[in-house]
Amino acid sequence: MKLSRKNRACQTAIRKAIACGKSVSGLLAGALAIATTGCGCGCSRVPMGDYPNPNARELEVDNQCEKSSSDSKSTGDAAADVKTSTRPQKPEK
Amino acid sequence: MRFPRHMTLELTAKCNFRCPYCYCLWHEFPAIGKPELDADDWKKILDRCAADGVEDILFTGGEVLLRPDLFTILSHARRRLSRAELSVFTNASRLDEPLIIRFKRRRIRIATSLQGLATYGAMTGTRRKFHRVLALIARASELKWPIAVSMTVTKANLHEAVDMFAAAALSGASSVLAGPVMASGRALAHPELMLSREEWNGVKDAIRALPNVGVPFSFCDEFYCECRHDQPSARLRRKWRDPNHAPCPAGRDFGVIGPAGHFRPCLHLPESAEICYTMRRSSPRITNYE
Repeated sequence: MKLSRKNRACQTAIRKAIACGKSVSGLLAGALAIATTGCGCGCSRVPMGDYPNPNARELEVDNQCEKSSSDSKSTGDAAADVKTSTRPQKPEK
Repeated sequence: MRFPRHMTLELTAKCNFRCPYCYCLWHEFPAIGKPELDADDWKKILDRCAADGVEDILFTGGEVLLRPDLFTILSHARRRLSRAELSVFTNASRLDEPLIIRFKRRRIRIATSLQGLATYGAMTGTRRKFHRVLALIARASELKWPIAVSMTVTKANLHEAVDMFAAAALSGASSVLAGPVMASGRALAHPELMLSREEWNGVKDAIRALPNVGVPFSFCDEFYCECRHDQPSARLRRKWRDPNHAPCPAGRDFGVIGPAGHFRPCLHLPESAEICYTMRRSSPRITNYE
């Protein structure tokens, strides 16, 4: 089934969490921001569009694109794994 | 007899899942499930619903998508009840994107069940996995026709009940209804799946403690049908006067028509009548009642 990139990442994060025996509910809090709605540079900025998922309300974290990707890894292993595996990283300047 | 405002039409008793906790009454009382009405009979019932001013109808089963004439019935329902809220409840096994679009075009809401995550196969009696259900929820959300999700908590999936809720919410469910397994239908043969009151309260507390992600949720607290297992008594009537325990709407605001066309005041009552507090009359077979 064809899903948007953020929904694909979200589904992958859920599957990974279950496969690793981790809590899916842990994704609710903050890791989802990186797994599903980060702007792509590794920060947790939420591109607010007409994203219908009400979770987006929770994800208005910040808009600092300069934030290093290493910061985001602390928010959840499963989600961070997804980020690195599904989203191309911006080359360091 | 006038139909209640809220109706559930059980279009078929056939199902491709074998959920051990299935509450459907035809597992106990096969006469409720057959012979099944054909599309013309259902159209007559829908005409009656329209005449009686029914406000919402849930089409369920069994598995409704196993009926080849489902959209004949739904199209008739939409024509005759243009303002009513129509919904289908499906196990999602046959649901796909084109069907979601067809439902959306007819303004028919969709509800499905998420029976487990790691336990999905065991809880559905199949070899299926939960992945497809979550992907469908996500896709429906993208199509802006979200899906309401029901989940039944049993002893077997108790350990992942909170994760089931979280997965449904993360995938974009429009609402979540969670309830414990009830002692009726096939579940009567599986007492090992029943929860204790403490276990169920623990699940509710854990879900309430999750971060608010804006997905509305509610709980279905019945462990058993009070009308069936504990016939209306002075005790129950006192309890129902308690504002924390609303009287059961069975028969008054709510009614069910089974696959064979029998009216029941409640999903969990075999037929009727004498034992129902709010509706003391025999249940007619609708097709013979015109």
